[in-house]
Amino acid sequence: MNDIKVQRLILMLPILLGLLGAVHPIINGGVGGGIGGGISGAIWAGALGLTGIMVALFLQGKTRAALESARQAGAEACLAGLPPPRHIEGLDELCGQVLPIWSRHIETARGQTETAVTDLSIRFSDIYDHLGRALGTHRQHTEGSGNNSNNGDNNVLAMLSSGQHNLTQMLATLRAGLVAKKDMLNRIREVAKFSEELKSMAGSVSSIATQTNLLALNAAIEAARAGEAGRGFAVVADEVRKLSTLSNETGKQISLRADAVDKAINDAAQMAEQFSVQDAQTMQDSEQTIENVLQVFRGAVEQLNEAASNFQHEGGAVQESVGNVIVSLQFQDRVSQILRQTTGDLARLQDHLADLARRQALGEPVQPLDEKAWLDNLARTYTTLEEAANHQGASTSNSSSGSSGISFF
Amino acid sequence: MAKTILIVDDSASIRQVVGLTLKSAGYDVVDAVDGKDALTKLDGRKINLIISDVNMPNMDGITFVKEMKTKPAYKFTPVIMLTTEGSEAMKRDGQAAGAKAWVVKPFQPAQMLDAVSKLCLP
Repeated sequence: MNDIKVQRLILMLPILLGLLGAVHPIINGGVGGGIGGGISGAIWAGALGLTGIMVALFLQGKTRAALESARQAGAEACLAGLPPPRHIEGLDELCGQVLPIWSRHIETARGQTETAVTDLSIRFSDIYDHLGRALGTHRQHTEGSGNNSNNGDNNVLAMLSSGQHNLTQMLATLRAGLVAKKDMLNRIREVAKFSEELKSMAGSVSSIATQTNLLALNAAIEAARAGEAGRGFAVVADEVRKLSTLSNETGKQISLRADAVDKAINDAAQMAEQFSVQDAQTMQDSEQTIENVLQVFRGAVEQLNEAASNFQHEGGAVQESVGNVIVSLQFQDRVSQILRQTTGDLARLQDHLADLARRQALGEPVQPLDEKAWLDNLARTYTTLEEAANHQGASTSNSSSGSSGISFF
Repeated sequence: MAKTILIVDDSASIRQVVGLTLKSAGYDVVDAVDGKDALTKLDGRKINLIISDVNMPNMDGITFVKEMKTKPAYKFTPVIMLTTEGSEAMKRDGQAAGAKAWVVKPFQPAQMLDAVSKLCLP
C-alpha cells in the first residue's frame, strides 16, 4: 500500500471512530435520561454502554498505533536523508486481517445490545401490563359502578351505613318486643287484682253459707217446736243446712285456689319483671357493642381506603416510570443502525483493499483511492443526525435525547 | 370496537414501544418485522392505520408503502413513517409513496398518539 492510500485510510478512521463514539452518548442519553438517574437504570445502562465503549477504545488504539507507525517511518526516513517510504510494511495484511475482526466485534456488540434491549423491552412491557391490570382490578373493586375515585370510599361507607341501619332496625324490633312484654306484665298484674276479688267473693260465699246454716238451724228448731206439722219443714231445714255446709266448704276451696292462683300470678309477674330488667340491660349492652363494632369497622375502612389510595398513587407512578423506561429503550434502534452502517463501511473498505491486492498481484493498473468519493458515499448512507454530525466532526453528546419531530403531509 | 394498527419495524424493541403506547390508548395492534412480512398481514383484515419504519431488511418502508397502495382494500389506509431518517429528501420520498406523516425516532408517546388519532380511519 502506498503512502497516499495510507493517509487516505487514516483520514477515514476518525469518522468511523466518531460513529462508534456516538453510540455511547445515545445509550446514556436514551436510557439514563429515561430512568431519571435511578440506580438500577444507571447500572444496566452502563453495562450496555460498556461494550460500545470497549469497541471504540479498541479502534482508537489501533488507529493511534497505525498513525504512530507511519510517523516513525517518516521520521526515520528523514533522519537518514532518504525520501519518505511509499508504503508501510505489513499494513495491507494488518488491514486485511483486522478489519473483519473489528466488524465482528461491532456486530457482536450490536447483536448483544439488540438482544438485551429487546428482552428488557418485553420484560418491562410485561411489568407495565401487570401493573395496569392490578391497578385496574383494584380500581374496579373500589369504584364499583361509580365514575369517580371517591365512589370507592362512598361504597364502603354506604355498606357500613346499611349494616348500621339493619342493626338499628333489629334493635328497634327487640325494643318493640320489650314493650309487648311490659304490656303482658301489666295484664298479669290486672289478673292478680281479679284473684283478690275472687278471694273476696269466696269469703262472701263462706259468710253466706254460715248465715244460711244458722238460718237453717233456727228453722229446724222452729220446725221441732211445731211438732208433727213442722216435720216436713224440718227435713227441708236439714237439707238447707247440709247445702250451706257444702257451700261453706266450696267457699273455702275457692279461697284456697284463689290464693294459689294469686301466688302463681305474683311469681310470674315477679319473674317477668326480672326478665324485663335483664332484657333492658341486654338491649343497652347490644347497642353499645354494635356501636363499638361499627366504630372499629369505620376505623378499619378508613385505614384500608388510605392504604388503597397510596397503592393506587404509587402503583401509577411506578407504571409511568416503567412506561418511560420502555420509551427510552428506543435508543437501541438508533445504535443498531449506526453500528450496522459502520460495519458495512468497514466491510466495503476490506473488499476494496482485497481488490487492490488482487489487482497488484495480477499486475493490473491500480487507480488511486478517491477519498472524497468514498466519504461522500459514506455520508449518503447515514440515517441519523448523529452520523451526519460526526462526519462533520461536531459533538453528538445529546443529539439523540431530544423529542421527535412530526411532519404531516 | 377497538381500531387496529399495523406496526412494521425490524427492531423488536421499537415494536414493543409502539405496541405498548398504542395498546395503553385502547388500540389493537398487529405487527410485522419488515415490508415483506407486512404485506402478508394485509390479508383482508380491517387495518385503520399503518406505522412503518423506513430502513428494514427484505423490503424497506418506502417500497412497502408503494406496494400496499396497489391493494384496493388498503389503498386509502393512512401510513405514518417512523424512522431515524430525518432528511428532507427521504421525507419527500415517503410523501411521494403515499405516507401521511413522518415521525423521527425517538418519538414521544403523546405526539405519536396525537398523530394516530388525527389520521386513524374510522
